[in-house]
Amino acid sequence: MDFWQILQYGFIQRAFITGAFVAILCSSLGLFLVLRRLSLIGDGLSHVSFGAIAVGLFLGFYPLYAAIPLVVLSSLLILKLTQKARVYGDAAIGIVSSVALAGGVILASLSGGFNVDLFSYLFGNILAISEFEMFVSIALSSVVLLVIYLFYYELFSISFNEELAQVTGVKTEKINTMLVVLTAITVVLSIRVVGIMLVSSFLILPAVTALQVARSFKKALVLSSVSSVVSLIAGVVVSFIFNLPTGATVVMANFILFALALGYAKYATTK
Amino acid sequence: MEKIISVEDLSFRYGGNEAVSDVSFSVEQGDYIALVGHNGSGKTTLIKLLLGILKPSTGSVFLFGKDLHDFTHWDKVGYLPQNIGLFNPLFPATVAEVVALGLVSQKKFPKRLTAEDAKSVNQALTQMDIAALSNKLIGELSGGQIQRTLLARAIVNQPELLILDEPVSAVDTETRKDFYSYTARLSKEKKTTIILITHDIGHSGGYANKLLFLDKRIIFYGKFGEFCISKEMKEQFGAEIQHIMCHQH
Repeated sequence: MDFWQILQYGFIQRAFITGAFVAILCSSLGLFLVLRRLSLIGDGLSHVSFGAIAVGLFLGFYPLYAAIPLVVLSSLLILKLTQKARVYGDAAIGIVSSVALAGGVILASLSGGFNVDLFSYLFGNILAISEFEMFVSIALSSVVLLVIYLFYYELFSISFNEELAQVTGVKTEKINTMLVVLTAITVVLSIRVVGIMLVSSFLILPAVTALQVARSFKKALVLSSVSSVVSLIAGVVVSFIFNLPTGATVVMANFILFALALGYAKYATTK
Repeated sequence: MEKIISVEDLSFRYGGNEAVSDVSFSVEQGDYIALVGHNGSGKTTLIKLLLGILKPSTGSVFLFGKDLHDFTHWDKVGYLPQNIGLFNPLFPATVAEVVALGLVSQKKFPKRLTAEDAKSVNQALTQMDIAALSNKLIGELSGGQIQRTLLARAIVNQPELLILDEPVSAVDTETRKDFYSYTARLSKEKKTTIILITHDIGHSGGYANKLLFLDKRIIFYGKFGEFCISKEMKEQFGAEIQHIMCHQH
């Protein structure tokens, strides 16, 4: 079966379209998170989304409806704990994510089931994305990407140095809040593509790949997105042909690109 | 003369330790102030309080006549921080991109840079003699080159108030001389108000018209000539050191 034949399937088209939007979103936001050394917030919020999805399944809602507000609230809680309660950022992520994870496990146990549903959220199932989910992902991704575009210089500025940003009139607290809220939405959107367990790699790997080879900030953003979309396409096609789990294959494709970029960067510096 | 900075009863504590204590002073347009003091005397803390990076425990700061809480004209301010070594060496920005960040304060939402801004960036790079480094990544520069880049960033918006925290600590003597004469020109010709943290008390008399000696509180604030005959300074340094410092410039 060749690539064009694979593209004829509706579920593959939906996987590519939804995946491409989410990939560009994750990789753009991921660059700011990696540079601000906030990569782990993606990991923490993905654990929170486990608890949030369990709440949705327990109450009989569409799980992502419950996940978006709960994960956004948790991201704000992490920020408040860091700013007001004298708790270090990584410790705050640890507290909120482990409490949410524990809550999810208790709900799963109380309900005595929903194991199959929860499994699909844990590891993602991009090939099972419905048309509705595709449109929701496109709409939310577009909104988040637009916000990143509009606040590009503010985000660039605080990523470079928060003090300097403040003295150029950037409202650093508001921009930080915006960054974690956007991350929360992005994490929830990525769950259907790569799953809770792998979502942080979707935020981190394309960004660190771009950082190996980029020669300017704008190029880093573009390369991060390109690397992410190429990995997604390669991952979906390879997983379809060899009957492998798609989310995990996409992550492995991302890692291979990172390894290649790292090798190239080392070669370029020794040349 | 317009008051550019006015500070009233300013204090700041880190935990239980007082870093700045009951400081009041004002700075007029065109003043070039050397802010001096021993290590840990609160110089950088005072600068951060003036810029709103730290919130004071008590007291207030006015910039260009406005309470710092309501101050929005950050396009009038240029700042070069200490500790340039703290910048992430993997940061993927070019020298030109970093300098352009100094123009963000002039822009309204959504902030976008224009071709005119690119010209301002080139001009600042040329002034700091780093035009050839324009496309280099910030992580590939030496300490001195980073310092020049951040200086270019601080002056790119042609600020009315320039605050520099040990700006020439990582550069060679020649560059240091060039920098001092450049800032002296800015002060004289453009009436730019400058506050410069330095340990070089002796040479500061050659370019600064005032000297502020801080040891958590203000020990001395006045003209360099007055400093040379000040009783407080004699107590701090001893008559001999005071004499040497006052005849260096």
